[in-house]
Amino acid sequence: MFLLPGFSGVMVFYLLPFLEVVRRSFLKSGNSAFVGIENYRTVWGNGAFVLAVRNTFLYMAVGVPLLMGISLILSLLLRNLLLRRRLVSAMLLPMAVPAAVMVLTLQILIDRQGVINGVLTKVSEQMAALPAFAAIDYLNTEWALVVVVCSFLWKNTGYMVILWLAGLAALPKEVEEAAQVDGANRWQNWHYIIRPGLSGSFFTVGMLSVLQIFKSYREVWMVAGSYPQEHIYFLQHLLQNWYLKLEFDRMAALTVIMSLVLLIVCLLLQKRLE
Amino acid sequence: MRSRATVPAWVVRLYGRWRKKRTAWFATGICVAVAVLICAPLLMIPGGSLMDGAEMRQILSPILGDGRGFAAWHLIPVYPTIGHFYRLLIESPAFYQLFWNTVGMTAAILLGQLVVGLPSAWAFAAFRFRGRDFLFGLYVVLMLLPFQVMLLPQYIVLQKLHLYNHPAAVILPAVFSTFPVFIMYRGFTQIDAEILEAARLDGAGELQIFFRIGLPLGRMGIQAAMVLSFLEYWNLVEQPMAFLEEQATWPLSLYLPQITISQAGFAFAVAVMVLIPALFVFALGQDALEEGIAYIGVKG
Amino acid sequence: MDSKKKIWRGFALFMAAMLVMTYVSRMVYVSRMPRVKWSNPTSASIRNKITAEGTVEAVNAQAVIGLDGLLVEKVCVAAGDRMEAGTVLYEVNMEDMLAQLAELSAQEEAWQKQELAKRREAATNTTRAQEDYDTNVTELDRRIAEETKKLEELMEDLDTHMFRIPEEDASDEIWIAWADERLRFDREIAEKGRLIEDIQLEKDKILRQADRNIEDARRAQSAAESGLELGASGVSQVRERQERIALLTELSENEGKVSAESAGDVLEVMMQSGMRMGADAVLRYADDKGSRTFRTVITQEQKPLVHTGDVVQLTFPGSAEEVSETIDSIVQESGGYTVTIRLEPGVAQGRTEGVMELNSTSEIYDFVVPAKALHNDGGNAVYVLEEKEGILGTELSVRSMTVRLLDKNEDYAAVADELLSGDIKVVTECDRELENGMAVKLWD
Repeated sequence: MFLLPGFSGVMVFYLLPFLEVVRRSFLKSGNSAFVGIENYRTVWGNGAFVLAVRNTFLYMAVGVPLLMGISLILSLLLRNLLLRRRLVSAMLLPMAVPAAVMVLTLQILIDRQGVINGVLTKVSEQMAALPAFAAIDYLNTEWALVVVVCSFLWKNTGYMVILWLAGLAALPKEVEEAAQVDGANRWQNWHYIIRPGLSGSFFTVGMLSVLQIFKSYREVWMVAGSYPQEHIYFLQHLLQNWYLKLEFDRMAALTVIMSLVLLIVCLLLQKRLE
Repeated sequence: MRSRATVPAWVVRLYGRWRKKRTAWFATGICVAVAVLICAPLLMIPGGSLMDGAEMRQILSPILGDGRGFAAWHLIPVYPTIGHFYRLLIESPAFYQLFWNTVGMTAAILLGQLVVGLPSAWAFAAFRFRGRDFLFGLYVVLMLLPFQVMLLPQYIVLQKLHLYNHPAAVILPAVFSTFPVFIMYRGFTQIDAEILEAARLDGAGELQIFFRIGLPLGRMGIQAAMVLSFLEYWNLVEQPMAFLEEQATWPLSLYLPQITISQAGFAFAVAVMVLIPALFVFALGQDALEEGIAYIGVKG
Repeated sequence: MDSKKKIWRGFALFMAAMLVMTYVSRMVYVSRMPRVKWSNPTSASIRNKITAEGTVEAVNAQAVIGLDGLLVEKVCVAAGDRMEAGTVLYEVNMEDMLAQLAELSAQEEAWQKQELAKRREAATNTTRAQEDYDTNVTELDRRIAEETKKLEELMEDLDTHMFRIPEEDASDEIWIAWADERLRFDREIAEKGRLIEDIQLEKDKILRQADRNIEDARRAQSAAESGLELGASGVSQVRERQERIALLTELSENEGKVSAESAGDVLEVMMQSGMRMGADAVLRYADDKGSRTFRTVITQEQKPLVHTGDVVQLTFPGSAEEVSETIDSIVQESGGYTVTIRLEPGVAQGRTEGVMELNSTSEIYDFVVPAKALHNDGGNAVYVLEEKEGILGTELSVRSMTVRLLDKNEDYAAVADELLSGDIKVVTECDRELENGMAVKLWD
């Protein structure tokens, strides 16, 4: 079967390890004693866990809709433009930038004495009407989350725009045109034709957005280290720190928890949107 | 739907066109603005790579420790220099070592994904079998799991297979990643089932169907998957960092974090070099990306 | 499609360029790499040879005093020459000397004549004084005898008178006459007595005077004979002149040549032909019989290897002589250390320069490396060759390791450290400056 080689690899590198993780989640690291769900209890009660969950959830709750929304709007705008290809390519560029460079430019921009603060200060000086602007130390205050979300949007907007565009392109043009001839305004167009047609894309874009949220940990870690400001302390930070401290049992339990949640969410969404 | 007003059709059409144009300009304006906004930080890179250390320190001095005033940036350096490029391209054989490491790693991964993932995607798309949906759902979940989740178990498996500290430790898991399968599957689902049925009825073997029909028709999806994979693995950081101890096997992405803000010019030069192949791939795969992904979003 | 092909071509070009640059950068990197040679430390002892040139000096330099007043005709020796007893040192101008001699001789003669005359006169004086004395004594004695006789007569008279003492019933006038007579006698006796005393005194005086005269005369005579009469300076003057005459006479017999009296080495000649000598030294020499020392200066680096009591070989350029001596003292002086070796008499005769050689072989050290392996000002670190893992794979790199320097000569150094072992590869040569951690390659 075509599937066999791929699947066997997947088994080896993903499923089996995952099962191992599940197994470990019931053991204590170090002496491998069976401790039942004690690890889960430990994780559940861990303050860092609570914080990480809250932050990750918040990040997702803010980032995913924002990303999906912005990219959707952009794709709607771009749909029929001549410059579409160029603009989309331009928007895709951040995907090609290596994370370290993104981090470097980020540092230059958002440092307390960075360029953004500089520009904003100048602006506020010029426009006396506005209240004076005090330089913000972005990374060390709650603004850190704003920074993370913004850089997330920056990097992934192009990607999602393409996905939306693809979805839009698949819509039969005739129906739309017919509706327009019939006098439907844009809102109706959207509500009745486009939106339903995009439900599949919605699932895809949603999934991939979540995926990108998880992947963005890389940049966050590079900029802010293993123990960043508390608002941007995510689940991956927790996992990585536990890994480094060799607390594998907790890691395992957390992994299982996360996977279960993801699995449930995925399945639900899939069912709902199909 | 409310009925339209009594306006002559041609007026409506003209008006519609004008509105479209206006809309178009408006839309263009916004999109261009967004595109510029997005590209702006990227413009720091080439400029920065030509900026010599003194100028860099000068404009970044508030960040570097001066603590007063704000950093500035010159999009075009006042005193451009190719010193960073010289240092990187002529004096750093380490860069090339890492470059070829990255090239090899990425190529191997892409190849492996083609060999392994392609048939898998075809299998999901072309056949019906028991547990297909569940398995596919599993694939999706696996695709979504962040690496940190897999960090430990993969480490264990790799240790058992004696692959730790070998490039294969990064390549093999990546080869079996389910993401390309996902993308390529989408590509394949666009193919009309009837064509396949017809081919089967004609007596073609499965392999023939795959090679003669599946591949050509699904190639957009394949290309898209390849481009996305390339972008993903060209800049891969976590897995090499976790599984490769021997510096000689590192990819370029690990070279960069060693350079700090005080060597920003050099870092930007490295970034330029890292971006160039990515840009090439981008350019090559652009249409495929655009059109290939058209197949992804259709069916949920 | 065209643009796509172009892009592919561009991409291919880029990759090809990268490939080329890979090799270029490698070559640049390697060409800039220092090349090194290495060796393991061995167990050996360090031999040190200290060679120092020094001088032979005489402890006491003797001097030859010049002949004051004489004119040097020719100098026959120079500094550094060897002289034996009898070696002609210099010649004096004969005419000048003879002239001087003649003059002195004349002076001497005159003086001698004078002395003779003086002596005669003194002798005469003495005789005369003696005669005077005799005369005076005789005279005075006669007078004393005379007066004494008179006194005795008087005494007799007195006695007679006393016998003629009046009777008790004699008249007062008789008594008074007798008393007067008695008084007269007393008076006369007393006077006579006084007179005799006076004469005695006078005699004493005269005798004393005469004695003195005789003494003086005698003294003058003896002085005249011995010449003391001239006073100390006068006497020495005479003596000097006599000595000079003797000297000049001897000289003239030697044809004006002045020779050395003892053997030795001429150190310094302070005269030249045509010079009139003064009373200072005209020549300095190191007497053979005197003791000499060998002196040399060693440097700070050599100092630790040289100790008092060490046995050294001394050689002297120009001679085959070789002696073993022991070092007597090492004294620190400005800039260096002065080594002094006392030489036995007879050693290094005629030599003013020498070379000292000290060979020492140390104990066996565990780790001896070539001296050029040391770096750092204090010579307390070496570079060790190691393998280093880096991005370019396994490379050779050097690491600076501090060590303690135990001993050293020009070619080798003994070092010690807890981390040293016989397997360590010590860098012994490099074609450019090394730094800690640098990557290197082996010399072909």
